[in-house]
Amino acid sequence: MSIRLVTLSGLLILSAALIATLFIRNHPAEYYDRTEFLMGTYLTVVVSSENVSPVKLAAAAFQEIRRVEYKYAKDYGTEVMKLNSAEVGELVPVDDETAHIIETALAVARITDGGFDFTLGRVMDLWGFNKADTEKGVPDDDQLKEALRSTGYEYVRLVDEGGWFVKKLRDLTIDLSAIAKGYAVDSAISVIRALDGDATGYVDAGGDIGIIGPKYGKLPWTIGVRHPRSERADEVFDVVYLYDGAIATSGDYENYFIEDGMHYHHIIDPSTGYPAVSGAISATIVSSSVMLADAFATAAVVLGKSPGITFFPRNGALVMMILEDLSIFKSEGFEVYQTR
Amino acid sequence: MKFFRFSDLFIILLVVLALVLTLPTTRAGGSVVHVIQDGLLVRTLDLWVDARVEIGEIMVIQVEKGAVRALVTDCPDQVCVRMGWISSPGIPIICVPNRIMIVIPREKDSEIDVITG
Amino acid sequence: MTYRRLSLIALLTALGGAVHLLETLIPFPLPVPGGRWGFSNSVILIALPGARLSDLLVLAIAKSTLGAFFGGRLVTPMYLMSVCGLTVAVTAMWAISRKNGHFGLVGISLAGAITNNTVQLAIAAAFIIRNVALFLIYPYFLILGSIAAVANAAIAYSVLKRAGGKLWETS
Repeated sequence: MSIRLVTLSGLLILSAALIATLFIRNHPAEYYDRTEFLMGTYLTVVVSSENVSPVKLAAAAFQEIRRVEYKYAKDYGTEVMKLNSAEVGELVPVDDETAHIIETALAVARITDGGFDFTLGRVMDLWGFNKADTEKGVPDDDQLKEALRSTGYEYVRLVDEGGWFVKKLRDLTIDLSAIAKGYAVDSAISVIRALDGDATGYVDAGGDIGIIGPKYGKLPWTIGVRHPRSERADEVFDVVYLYDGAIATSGDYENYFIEDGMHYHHIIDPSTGYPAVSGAISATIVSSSVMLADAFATAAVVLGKSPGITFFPRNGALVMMILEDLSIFKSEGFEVYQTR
Repeated sequence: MKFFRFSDLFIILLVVLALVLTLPTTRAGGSVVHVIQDGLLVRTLDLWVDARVEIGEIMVIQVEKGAVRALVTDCPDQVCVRMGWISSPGIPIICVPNRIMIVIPREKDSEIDVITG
Repeated sequence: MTYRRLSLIALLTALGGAVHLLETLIPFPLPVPGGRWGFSNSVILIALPGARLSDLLVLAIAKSTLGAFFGGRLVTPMYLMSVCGLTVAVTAMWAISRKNGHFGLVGISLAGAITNNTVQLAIAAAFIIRNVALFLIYPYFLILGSIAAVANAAIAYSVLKRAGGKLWETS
């Protein structure tokens, strides 16, 4: 009996090892990652490629992001300064890239009925949310009303198929830094793909994530949605799996201050000039580009679970919203991204 | 066959012994935390040695039981302090004004690759 | 092979496969892909008294395969882990249960659970996740596995009591 038992178990182990080699394919791809402070946040590029050095790909991505930053940063962006110093009615020539960004910003603003607005610069200045190193505080109501009068995406126009930019309000300040952050990630991904179409990985700009390619070429990236009310930054509320595309989240917990016991967060409702009170405390958008995902996410927190949100999917933005009571509202079809 | 026999106690003992031997006591592998300032690695700390560490008079970070947080910072922003604790590589703690990043380096495949929010 | 043996194996396989599939509906508290309680292993315990090792192995592998097939996990590392773990565990359980010996169902079930868990995690750490840190969750696996093992022993005991001690006609 014992000899039979030994042979039997030997055979078992042998066949197990054989099956093991059949089932398990190695993951030769190792991921290279690099992080830098850019565009007011941290930017991480995680990339792997079998044809081009991932170090080179990441370097090219950062170079592209830096180029976009110098063009569209809030205070010193060359393109933004040019647009903000324009006179009312003056036709300012813009290149295709700027036209594309402004067009997208205008489109999201229209779709969300102003829930996303890139002309809030002066209002944000008053709250102190624009820069990390300024004091934050509740602004004077009259000042706020005054500043609010010089905002509104509807005072921005692109004419002649986007070749020219016109503003129709003297003190209008446009701020493309938010949307340009998403654009920079998308553009960096294009740069990587142009160097190697088979590269995989992702680019993470402070939680706004664009996918270069699936993990090891075949697995989805597992993306945790941050818990909006946890005292741990890495507590995950829900999980999303992405093979490609982009995901972004906006939440009232990201940047806020407390004054006289009141909680004031950085997502300003463009219609009131005050932090949005919509019932949504966090909104995650899955879309084709980070630029769209980020802009729609901001708008979703402003709009909350209102009828307007139902228009998001037909514009290519699926939403998952966490409401004040920590219940979840999802666009139909969002579940697709929650199974492997 | 009986439900329980005296000898079963030995197997239960075996389970308990295995549990006692493998339950994590203080550390879970060589997990560390990196403090990066201006792109340079300025400190590497053991995640399983409880400590408070001052980074250049602008920030105090606290390490406790495998998690780390920014305890005090001199900037008006306070975003990093409000982020609270982290114990995984999915999301780093960031102080933009001081250009400090507290990050737990990625070991091999963890369950969550990256965090949005 | 008598018809009784054949039909018994088939019956227990079907039962085990069904439980294997259904138990994935019970949430498993550890963040492990394919993590399961292992309640389906109660059919192994039920079959154990007086069984031949070969019959038990056929039952164990068929049960896992059936459950994995209907659960859509057939060509995954999880299936491989569960088959390898179970074959070793079944051999161990069979070995210590022979001659109607010293151990009761609780002990046998626990021994099977530990072997199963250890082998599965070893395979995962060696081939699939390739990270020794995986063993950090070993104790938690052990606790949950022991809970399921005692439950399995209770199930097997009540079934066997009604069946008159054993299901096979010859030992």
